[in-house]
Amino acid sequence: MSTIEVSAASSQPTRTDSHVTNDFSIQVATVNGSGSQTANTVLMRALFQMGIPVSGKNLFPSNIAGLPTWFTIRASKHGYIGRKKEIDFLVAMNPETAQEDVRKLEPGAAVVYDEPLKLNTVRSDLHFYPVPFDRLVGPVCPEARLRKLVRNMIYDGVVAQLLGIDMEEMRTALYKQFGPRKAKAAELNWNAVKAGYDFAAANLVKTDRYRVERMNATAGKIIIEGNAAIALGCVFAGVTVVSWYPITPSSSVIEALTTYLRRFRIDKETGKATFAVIQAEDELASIGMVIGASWAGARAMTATSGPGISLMAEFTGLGYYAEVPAVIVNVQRVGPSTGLPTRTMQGDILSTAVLSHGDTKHPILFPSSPVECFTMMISAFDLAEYFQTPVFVFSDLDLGMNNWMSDPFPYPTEPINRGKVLTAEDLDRLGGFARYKDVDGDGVGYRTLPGTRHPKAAYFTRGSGHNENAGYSEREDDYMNNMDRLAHKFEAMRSRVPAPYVDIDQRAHVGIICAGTSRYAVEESRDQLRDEYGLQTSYLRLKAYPFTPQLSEFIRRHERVYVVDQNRDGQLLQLMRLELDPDEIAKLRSVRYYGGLPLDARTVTAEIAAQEGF
Amino acid sequence: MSALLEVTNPEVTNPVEPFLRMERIPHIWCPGCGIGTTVNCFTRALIESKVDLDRVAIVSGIGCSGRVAGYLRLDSFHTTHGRAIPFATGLKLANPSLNVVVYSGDGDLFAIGGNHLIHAARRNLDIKVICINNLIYAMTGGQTAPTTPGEAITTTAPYGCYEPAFNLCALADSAGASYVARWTTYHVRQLTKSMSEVMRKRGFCFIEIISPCPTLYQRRNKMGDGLDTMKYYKQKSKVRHGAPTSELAITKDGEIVVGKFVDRDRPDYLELMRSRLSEQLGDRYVETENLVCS
Ligand SMILES: Cc1ncc(C[n+]2csc(CCOP(=O)(O)OP(=O)(O)O)c2C)c(N)n1
Ligand code: SF4
Repeated sequence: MSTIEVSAASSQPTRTDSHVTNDFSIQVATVNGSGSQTANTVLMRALFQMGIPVSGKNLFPSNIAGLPTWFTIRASKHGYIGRKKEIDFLVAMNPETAQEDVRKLEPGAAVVYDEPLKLNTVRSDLHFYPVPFDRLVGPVCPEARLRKLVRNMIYDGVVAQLLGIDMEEMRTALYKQFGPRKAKAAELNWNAVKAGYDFAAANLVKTDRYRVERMNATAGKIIIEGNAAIALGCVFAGVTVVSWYPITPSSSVIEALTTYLRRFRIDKETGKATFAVIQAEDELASIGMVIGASWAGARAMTATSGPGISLMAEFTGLGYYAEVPAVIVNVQRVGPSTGLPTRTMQGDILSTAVLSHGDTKHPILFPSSPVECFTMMISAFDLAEYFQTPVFVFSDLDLGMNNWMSDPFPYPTEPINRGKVLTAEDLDRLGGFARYKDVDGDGVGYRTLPGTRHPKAAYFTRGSGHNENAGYSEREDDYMNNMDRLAHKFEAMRSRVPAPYVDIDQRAHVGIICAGTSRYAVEESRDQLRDEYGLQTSYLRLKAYPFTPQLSEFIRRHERVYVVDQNRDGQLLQLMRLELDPDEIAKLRSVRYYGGLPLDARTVTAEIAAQEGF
Repeated sequence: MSALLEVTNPEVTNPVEPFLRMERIPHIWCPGCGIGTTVNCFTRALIESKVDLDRVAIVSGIGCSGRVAGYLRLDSFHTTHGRAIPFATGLKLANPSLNVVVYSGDGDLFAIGGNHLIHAARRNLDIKVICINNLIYAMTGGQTAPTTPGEAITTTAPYGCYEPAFNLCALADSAGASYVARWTTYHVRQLTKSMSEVMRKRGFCFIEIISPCPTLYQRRNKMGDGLDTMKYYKQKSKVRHGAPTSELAITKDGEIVVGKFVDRDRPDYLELMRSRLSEQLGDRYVETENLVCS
């Protein structure tokens, strides 16, 4: 059966002449573990190579193989790389979800599908392209065992033909994906792409509106996952000890880091590793090892997700109170408990800001892009060592595990800051030191590292009451002085954490605040609010907690300020309430999304428009 | 794939079907995975042992193995990673008339949850622990587990694992378990029998099931698919009932000793509590049937 027959039966709308160029999303619906990732990456890369801004998002289930997954590629000439809610071009490969996937589409969308699924009978307002995948895969892939994988490359060819993606770019992307060592596999897959392309050229009549055209908006950019960017940041920050326990979506931070360390951190002269990575028996052990290593003077880190953060609570309190550096990456996922382990959320903000018992407060950095994943890891280690305290870096599943178009990373210009560490020579000069004394007025004392050869170097530290000299103390004044100094230290961080990104529109009465990956939806939503409602907005993107003075200034400038949260309870807003003045708090409005998918602009626009009374 | 779970045709009634939440089938396990086979054995053991099914509760941790609780049509609870045993302990103490079964993976029970396991064994708490040992953390993509044998390749040990592994049976035995057995998923009859025995036995019972994860462990270690693993188990395993548990270490391609190694009678936690407290308190010690408010 060919499409010509299908259109003759008038089961699909007639050809449309108004083209939509470089502005659509493609969704590929497949089964987990069916090897579609390569096909999807090739498609995304080919668009990228054609100079079109792209983003790719993988929606996968909590299972290893066999359940439905959806991969969405967005092409946007405007450079929007957040999730687009509507799907314009569906590739329906999974019989289990195909019917529902088709039902969810907006009228006018295109559907490439496996012919036996007969999806063209489901609706009549879509553009259907049936493809006999099984018939096409046979001749290009004689080995039956590989057909399941190679089949996916056929849709790449079909989509390339229908959208007008340059086949040379497809070829380059595919060979890059396989690498020189898998040239034979690459050839096999390339033949499948060609078979799909040829089939489409000969049998399908293009009736939908979507197409691509070369542009020049990706020159000099790279494609990378947030987790790999964090790993590279750790390498450049000089990490030496890594302890972790596997948990999705953070495991690939450490898996990438281990690969980079093996490549870049073997001493050339001695051939010895200058790092240690240990997989602990759980997260409690991993944070313990990090704090132990940091006390010894290593730059130590761990990466986890929400459940792991909960288990690290007690030790984090020890790090805070005994003042030991630690860097903890949290690639957030949906909670509470095991929640939706493979979906995204920013739901650990409130609990982590004060993680542990008693009075604790911890700095949190909020990277929003691979570049910031990289630069903020370096900031995190410097802050942790300078302020001698656990520092959290909050990514999320969307940033961590999806492919992002990114600027190349800036080479660090500042030297690493190891903070206030006294050597034997320093001690000779000073004649001794008081571990928990605020000498410089920023609340941060001087420390020595265990093993320092000096009679005055050793000290005994603890998680229970202590005085300036690290001596055990249950005295009311010692405890309160110490806690006040720790609070003062937290205040001192405000001038050292990354300052927010601020974009003031002089005409705007309305401001929008967000952190992390919410930015993509918010930045696109600002354009929608302006174009569709004539609403000008200012924008502040937080990069860190504790908040810096720019936050209050921003709120005071505007009449109403929307705080965008990816959680049910508006955690970012709640955290602000703890710090701001009542007249500032009164201006705050909450925009919340907590369905587990990456935030999209439409959701933000609709919510703000509704609250603005449009 | 387990024959059991393939049966979805309503015409064919499988004897174990009534024990499964059929609305949740197809299950999440990969083709060739051993977990489904163990569920099949377990449901048969429920039939054979003639236990009161209304009194059986299943508790799982997190992992591919931890998904078992979700497919059984019994009172079942999916806890957090590593904490199935503390939850089960509370459950048993609150309602001692329940037959509490913990069904989970090696990582869940012996890495993050290792402490809980040895303490439950030490107390001889009357629960049955069924541990699916696929030698790795599967759910998270195939990292090294405390059970990974030396030299085996995992995502986190690309050059082969160098950490010594736990001998699970020895650990359970030395911590005080009343019953310790090990089978592979090849030994369906023997496994069913062991499961059936523990359902009727009092005290802390532990069954280790060596089970394939063709997707992550066998593939990386070039050990073939599910079927190849069955042949491998058949060839490598040796039944040695009563073997000293210290001799049961698993190596990458060495012998797999299977059998029942421990079957002893020790007073369980509740008996110990009862006898000590009545001895000390006499008539003042009164016990309620269960602590559940009704
Ligand atoms: C506190 C916490 N840490 C980590 C995880 C991630 N996690 C889920 S399952 C699992 C390992 C499962 O291994 P195992 O118990 O051997 O079961 P299998 O998947 O191999 O059957 C891990 C580490 C989690 N859910 N919670
Ligand atoms: S990943 Fe391994 S353990 Fe998990 S379902 Fe697949 S085969 Fe079974």
